[in-house]
Amino acid sequence: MSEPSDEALLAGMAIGDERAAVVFVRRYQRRVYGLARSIVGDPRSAEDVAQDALVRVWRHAQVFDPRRGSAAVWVLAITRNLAIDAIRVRRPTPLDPAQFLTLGSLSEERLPEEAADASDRAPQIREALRALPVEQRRALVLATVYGLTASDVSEREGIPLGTAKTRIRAGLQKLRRALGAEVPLA
Amino acid sequence: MSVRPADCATVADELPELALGTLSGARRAVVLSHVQGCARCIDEVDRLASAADAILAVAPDAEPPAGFETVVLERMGLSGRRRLRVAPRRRITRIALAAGALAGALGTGLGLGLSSAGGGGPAAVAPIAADLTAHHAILGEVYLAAGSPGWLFMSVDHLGVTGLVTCKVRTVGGATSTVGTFWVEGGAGSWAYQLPVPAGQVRAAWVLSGGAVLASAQLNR
Repeated sequence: MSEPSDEALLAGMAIGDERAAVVFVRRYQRRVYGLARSIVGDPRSAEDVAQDALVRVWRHAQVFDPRRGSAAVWVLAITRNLAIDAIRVRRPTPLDPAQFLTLGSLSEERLPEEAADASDRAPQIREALRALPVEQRRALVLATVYGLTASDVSEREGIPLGTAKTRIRAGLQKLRRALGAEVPLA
Repeated sequence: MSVRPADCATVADELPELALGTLSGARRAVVLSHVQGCARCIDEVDRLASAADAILAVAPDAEPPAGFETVVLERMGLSGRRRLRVAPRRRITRIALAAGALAGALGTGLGLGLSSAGGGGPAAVAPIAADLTAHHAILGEVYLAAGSPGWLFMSVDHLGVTGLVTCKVRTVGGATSTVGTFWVEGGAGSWAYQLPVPAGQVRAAWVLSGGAVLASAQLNR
């Protein structure tokens, strides 16, 4: 029997289906915790963030709109936003983006259960990120994953503000082109 | 102060920052004033924002600490103990509600079986609870409240039928008694019945439909 899609599980969670919630938590806990850990660094804080994120998904499943993007991106965006809130409270600057760029994010590893997400475009995204010059990739990850402004990136990387803006802009535009203009993003 | 209108070429380089939510101050106002009226730029901002979010899809995995799943499910109001079967907290709550409702309806202290006794209600004997199972799957729960008379509370979640079912109990001597019949809707329901025998003598309870046992529970072991 095929595994239910993420979207089907979220639809079930929206009406309070406990089984859907359990399957969803099992499917996503490693990804949610991994993202939280890569942003906040501290395992204890990451655990809190990851728990908060999954509970928030359960409580707000009814507002998920599959037309606006995949369930994976929605869940991970919730996680990222909570993680960014956490590091803003606890630490003036986030970890080095290498935490995100080297701890498996650009590897091909994926657990079998994650293959249930038919809209998984991770390989394509990894390839697009790899194709970016490293300085653009760092700036882009600092801005998109860690929530830094161009000014923050400038300060952190020790580069002029204009350079930081250029790197973020060029990186994002290349990524956007690489992911295609016509195909909806995962 | 009014914002001077801009065109697509003027704002193009700033759309990425707008998509990331990091464009601030006066430039944000200028860019927004154009984008809000330009379908092409709105589409481009949407795509840039989607590209930015897509990066999250390659976030590194990590094994969460032991007990993580259980805590998350508890915080959701579910339970990790029964995993894919049922949520005991909800069921116990349902049983308690059934007990409370019955107590209210009869004007007695039926709920005392759930806590400590006082006055003329059931005696303060520790409650007895057991899972209703079939083929090793947990389908519901039985709860006995000791006293005179004793009471049986039953809740099922996944009985797999809709219709009238019968609850029977077997006592320590091996005798069986029918406690009552109740309606199951979509495999779920909760009930409370006065026991025909002392609660302490009940050794087993089961639910039947058309003579077939749907689930059973072992009690007072």
